[in-house]
Amino acid sequence: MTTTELPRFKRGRAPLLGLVTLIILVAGAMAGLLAVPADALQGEVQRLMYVHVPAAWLAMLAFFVVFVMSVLYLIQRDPRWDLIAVSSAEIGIVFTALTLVLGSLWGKPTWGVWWTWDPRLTTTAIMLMIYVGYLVVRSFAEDPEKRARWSAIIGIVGFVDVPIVYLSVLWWRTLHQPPSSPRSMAGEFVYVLLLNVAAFTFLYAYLMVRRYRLAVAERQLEELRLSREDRGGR
Amino acid sequence: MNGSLALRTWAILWKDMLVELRTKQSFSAMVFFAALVLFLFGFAIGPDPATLSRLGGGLLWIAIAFTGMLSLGRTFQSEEVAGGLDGLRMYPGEIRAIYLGKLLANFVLLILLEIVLVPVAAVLLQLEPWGRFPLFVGITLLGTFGFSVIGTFYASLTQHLRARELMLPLLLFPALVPVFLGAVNATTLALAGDPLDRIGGWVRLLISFDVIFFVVCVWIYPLVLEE
Amino acid sequence: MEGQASGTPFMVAGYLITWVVLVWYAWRLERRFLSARRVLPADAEPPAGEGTSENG
Repeated sequence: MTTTELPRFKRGRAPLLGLVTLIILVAGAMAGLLAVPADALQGEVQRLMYVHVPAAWLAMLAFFVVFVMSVLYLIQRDPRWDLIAVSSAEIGIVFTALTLVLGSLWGKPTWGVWWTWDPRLTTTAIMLMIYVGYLVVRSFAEDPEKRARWSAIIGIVGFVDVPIVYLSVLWWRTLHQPPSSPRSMAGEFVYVLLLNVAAFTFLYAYLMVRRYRLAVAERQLEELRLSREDRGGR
Repeated sequence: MNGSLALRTWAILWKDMLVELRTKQSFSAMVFFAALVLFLFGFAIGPDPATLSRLGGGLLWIAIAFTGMLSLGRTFQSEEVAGGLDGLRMYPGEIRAIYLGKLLANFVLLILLEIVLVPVAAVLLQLEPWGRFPLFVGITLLGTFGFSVIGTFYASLTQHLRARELMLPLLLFPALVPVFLGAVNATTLALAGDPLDRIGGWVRLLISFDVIFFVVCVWIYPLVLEE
Repeated sequence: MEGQASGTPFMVAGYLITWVVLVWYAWRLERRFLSARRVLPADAEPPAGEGTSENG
């Protein structure tokens, strides 16, 4: 395997993207906290929806990107797809964990418990475990090509598994109680939610640019180390 | 499926079964480990027969999953002595035969384990699988097959990793959630009776999982072994 | 259960945690990049044509 042509560092437009992201995020948070009235039934806690749902959306988007990049990597064997996949996986894990924490904070005052075996909550937790496995496998594989190939396979199998896990947990739970379903929402709530979803999508783009830059740098470091080891005549 | 693939699969299955037959110790160790797990459940849950038989289906499948996980690790490790896997890979023909052969070997081994384990569990946990025995057997076959499909795949994938003993369960158990839920619920219903006729749904879940992952795993397996 | 009164602290905690995580993660990405960059030679040129060791 020859070493890869990786993009050089450029100054780029990342700071501008970061600024735009920050503005939309702040606007979204203000809208969620101040512009809309508290929910008639749940009260103030319901405002958690404006971060909980976007965080879950970001995590799903991130894992979908892992899947697409894994497929692309296995077809084209371009290491850049692998680096995008691992960047997306790490961001997805951070936001899956955040989604779980927010869901827990929402659940305690409304359901009275920190954890409930709600199908979506349970599937989110299993999804977190699947992608933690993805990252840990990478840290235990030394050869860059094999690491990329094996983790791409896990990225595909894991992604196929998530909807089946969801269906099975849904089935399991509906035998005991109906899953909590969101009530239909009034117009202004929808707009605020959409604004926050847009904000988190920008956030994903910004974090991806930054994480990918880091992945490239780490990859270059690794190739440097590998070539030194080779020259060291071991 | 062409003839050479079936033949190669059969050859690998036969070879692994012969190896297993010559070293019977590892199979007996598996059986004793599974029985030990059942005893530990008994100690953890207490001797109340009603509780034990209510949880029986779940306990049985946890014992199978743990024991199966340990034996999966050996599937490909046995090939590492004297470069066995390279030898297998060098034979002409479909590389998928390696996966299929190992998958069937694991499946047969687990079924043999279950043949010994189920009567033991029936005695220890006060289970009554004999009432609807064909259904019980069918569910067990489907669950075991799903376990073997994913298990063999990930065992092969983690074979060359550092800390593979840790990596295999870390990857395998989250992926197995649908099989586990399907097998445990269907088994529990088969044991305790199924007044609302829910068992069909779980059986269909098991069948879907087995088919989907069998196709996916067979399809992308050559990428796992690529040099 | 009194939703209005008991829920607010959880809501505030949720927003605080979200923002702390965002800032912390973005900051960590920056730090990790800078420390990787420090070790790399000035004009990071991936060494070309070197085979990476295979252990199969």
